[in-house]
Amino acid sequence: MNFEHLKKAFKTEWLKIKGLGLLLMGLIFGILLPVLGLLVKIFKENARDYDGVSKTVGQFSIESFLSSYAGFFLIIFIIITATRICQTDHKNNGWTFLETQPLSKISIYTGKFLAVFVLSVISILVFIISSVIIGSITEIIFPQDNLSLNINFSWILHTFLRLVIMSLGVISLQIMLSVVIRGFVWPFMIGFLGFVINIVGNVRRETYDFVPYNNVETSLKFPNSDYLNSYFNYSEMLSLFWGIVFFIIGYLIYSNRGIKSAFFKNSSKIFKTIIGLAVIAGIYFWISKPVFPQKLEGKTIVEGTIISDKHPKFVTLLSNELRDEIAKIPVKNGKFYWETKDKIPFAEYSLDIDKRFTPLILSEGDHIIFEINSDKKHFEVNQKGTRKAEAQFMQSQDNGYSYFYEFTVREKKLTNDPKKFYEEAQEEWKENHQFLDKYRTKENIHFADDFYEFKKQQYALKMMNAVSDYQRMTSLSDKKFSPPSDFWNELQNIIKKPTNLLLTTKEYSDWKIKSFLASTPAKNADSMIFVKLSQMPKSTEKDQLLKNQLLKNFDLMRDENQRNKLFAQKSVEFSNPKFVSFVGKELQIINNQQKGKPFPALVFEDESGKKVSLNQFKGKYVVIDLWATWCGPCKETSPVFEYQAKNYRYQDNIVFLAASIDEDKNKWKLDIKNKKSDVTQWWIANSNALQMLGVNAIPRFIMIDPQGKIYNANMPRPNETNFEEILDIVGESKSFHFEM
Amino acid sequence: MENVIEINNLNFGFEPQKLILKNVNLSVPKGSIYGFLGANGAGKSTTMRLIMGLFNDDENAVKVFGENVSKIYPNGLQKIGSLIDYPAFYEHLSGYDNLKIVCIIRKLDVKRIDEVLEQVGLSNARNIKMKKYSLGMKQRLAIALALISNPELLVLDEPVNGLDPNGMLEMRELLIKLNRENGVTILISSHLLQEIDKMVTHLGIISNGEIKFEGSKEKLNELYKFQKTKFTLSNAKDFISFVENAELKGENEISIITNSQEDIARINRILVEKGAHIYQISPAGGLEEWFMEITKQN
Repeated sequence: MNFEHLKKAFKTEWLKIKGLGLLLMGLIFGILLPVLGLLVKIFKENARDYDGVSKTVGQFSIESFLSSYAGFFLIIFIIITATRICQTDHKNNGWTFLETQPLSKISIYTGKFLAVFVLSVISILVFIISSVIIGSITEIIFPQDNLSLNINFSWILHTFLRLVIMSLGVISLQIMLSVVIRGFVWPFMIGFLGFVINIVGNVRRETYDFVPYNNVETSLKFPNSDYLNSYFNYSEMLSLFWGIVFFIIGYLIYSNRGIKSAFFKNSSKIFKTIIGLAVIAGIYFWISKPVFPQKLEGKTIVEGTIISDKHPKFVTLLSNELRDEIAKIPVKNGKFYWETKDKIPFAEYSLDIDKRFTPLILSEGDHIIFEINSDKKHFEVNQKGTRKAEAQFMQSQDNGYSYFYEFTVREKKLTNDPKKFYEEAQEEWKENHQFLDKYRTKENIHFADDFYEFKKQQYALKMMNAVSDYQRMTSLSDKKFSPPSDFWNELQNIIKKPTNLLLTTKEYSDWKIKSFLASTPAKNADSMIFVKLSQMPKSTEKDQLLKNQLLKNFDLMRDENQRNKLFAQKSVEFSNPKFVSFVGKELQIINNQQKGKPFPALVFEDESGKKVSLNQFKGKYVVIDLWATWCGPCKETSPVFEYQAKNYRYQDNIVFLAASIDEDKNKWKLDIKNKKSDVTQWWIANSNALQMLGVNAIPRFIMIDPQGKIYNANMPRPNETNFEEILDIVGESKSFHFEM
Repeated sequence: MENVIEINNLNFGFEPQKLILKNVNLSVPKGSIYGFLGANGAGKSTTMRLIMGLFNDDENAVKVFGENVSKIYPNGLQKIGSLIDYPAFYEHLSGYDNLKIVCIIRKLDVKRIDEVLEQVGLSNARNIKMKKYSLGMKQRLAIALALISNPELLVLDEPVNGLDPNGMLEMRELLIKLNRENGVTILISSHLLQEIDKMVTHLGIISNGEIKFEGSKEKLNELYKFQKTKFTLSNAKDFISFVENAELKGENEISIITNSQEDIARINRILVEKGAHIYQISPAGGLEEWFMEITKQN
């Protein structure tokens, strides 16, 4: 291609957009959202609050508006620009004019493409620059903790480049449509269709890699470029790919004056078309092929960076099953690095960063990189490396509603219609299977084989437990209520070689226990289980089952002595002493929560900072709501607690106390300014003392008796009827209150 | 090279069965003003588009400046200015800006813009947006777009469409001036015979995709050099044998080639002596009739 021609063609196109208002439109689209953001903050006070980890204003501003700008305004801008630029030539014989000038066709076509491209880049630049500037102005007017006026150039450049690349697919496609189609209606309709496809994709949680508009949507799932495993996401590569493909196709149709003459005119062209399609398909499948993270050979690495106000000296890697320490990794200059050649069994682990935990699936060969940003109120973990799909899966607990499990099984339906029951069961199983097969992150990362197998086995066991329960309910002997044999065989095959991680799951315990009780009547169940367990040879599997069975029994037993006796009896049957100490610790916590046990010595302060103590409530029952300002679910339960406090305010012997475990006393003071007066508001100075009660999650509700001893160490939530039942039992004046 | 445009044996159509141009042969000599005549739909525009490379000349039948069009374009277009079909421009831009575009593309000095606006008489309208131009103004600007680069060849498709008689006169004078003073070769198509007649040096006539006549004005004159006179009389067929070079034009009409006024008088006498009742004598023939006749077939 003659670059002289291209320069001339581009200058021509640039002159032609004068008076079309496109440059102005790009500027407005770019600056619109940041300006609106500032206006909203000026008029609405609570819009100004920044509640997140420390960040530069530029990054925060850009991240806030990126999806709306690029997912909507930029695409609309591209559609309008491409159409307008081509319409000036469709009208008034412009193409004839251009084609009778000394300009090659490729330069005419590329000139138009470049004009749209340059306009888009200008709009993107305006967006980024105005976000930074207006964001900084906002920060100067309404300063926020954790936002700084620094400019993170490398992040901004990264985001800018991603925006440019991700828009190439749409630009090429729209140019092709606008050049080839005379009217402006069809390019708009197809662009609109692109938006519709994106909405459908979002609702159905699907990704359509072959649609350039959807590539943009996928890229925008990562407004923070730091989250990506590589510099450009696969969706951006796809966008670049489509950009090139549609450019070539569009140019060929244009220069040959029609689709037929471009591709089908004679056998040589048809042949080239077929080859071209094959190449395109090949490259497409190569770019979009599923990513299975590359494992290391013979070693495992866990490393990362930490930004924290507390500057921890170590991070600890724990196994989830027994909470035992695998490694204590030193932190130097905010960085930590651990490499081991030991065999790391495939299991669930946790990384302990100064008492804040982040879960982790790990096995030998993994390379995990953490970026941790934590302060008093926030704990943000960005996990990169080889286990991203697993991390995403574990974080999103919402895996859809299962009609089969939530309704049919739970409500024990279809006991007289085994045919329908097994139909639903197989349907559910098929869905589960498909879900696992299809699962991928928006970086196209799939599960590692070991996790996939594990999940499949877990789903299989869940199904087998449900089927077994069903048979137990209906009939174990009547063939009518048996599962279809191919279905059952398939499930059994899957769990033939259980992974170690499977053995730790509840589903496995349930299943194994059920098989012990194959033909035992229900009332002898518990003792029979222990008998069978005793008969098992010493193994990890036996240890796990024994552990689960003991803990289950401890929960049901009321008498501390009985519990201790059972533990003493059974502890010899364990082969791994780690299990013994684990069960022992759990037993201790359960014992601590026994009714009548002393309540841990907590140091309280009231709003004015004065030291107070529960002793002042001796003679009354105290209902305690353990909460913190940073706790999300507490924001729902605290108001209900206050409501109940108001409900029971005439019960003189019941006191409602909200005790905060915030580390930052001042944050707590600010937060309680607007709280109701029926609840006493105290702050706990030594929240560690609560560990002996096994308090590892909030909100948590505890009731103390008039002697200051534990009445109920784990009350139901204030919105549950059991909560009121307990209060009604202890309340002095047996008043009748209305159900609201 | 002698012929700026040379077309040999051109057959063209979008479908192989339906040819638009059949065995067209055409030569435009250097320095000529070549008039390309034909009724609407005869194939003029198509031929011109082929010359300009707007349609693909797969058989390499068209040569411009001695080379096949598929080879010398787009760079060869630097020497050619054109107006094909209807005026092409960008209506949201002013006349000045439209011309500036050509300057950018052809690397011309922007001084040329005002010069050429002067030449076509649009200096007053230079900054007005083209969507406000009248039809005549648009036509003139289109010609300016073609002229601005001082091309060696002008290919103009119906350039005087929409111009009033004054405009047509100015245009004609401008083109003749360019041809005489600068040696610009002009290929101009029209269906307005009178206009073409006044300025062309060569002529090509096309009808239904076939060339009916091709050559210089002198050659044309030879063809219809004999004036014809029309005699209106009753029972014309009875008297046709008495006269030479006569053609029966209808029941009451004979057309006779006459060389002079004495000829008319002589023939008149012969017919009357033979008993013809002559109702009318009027001049006939000329380019127009000849043209209509030649293009009437099929």
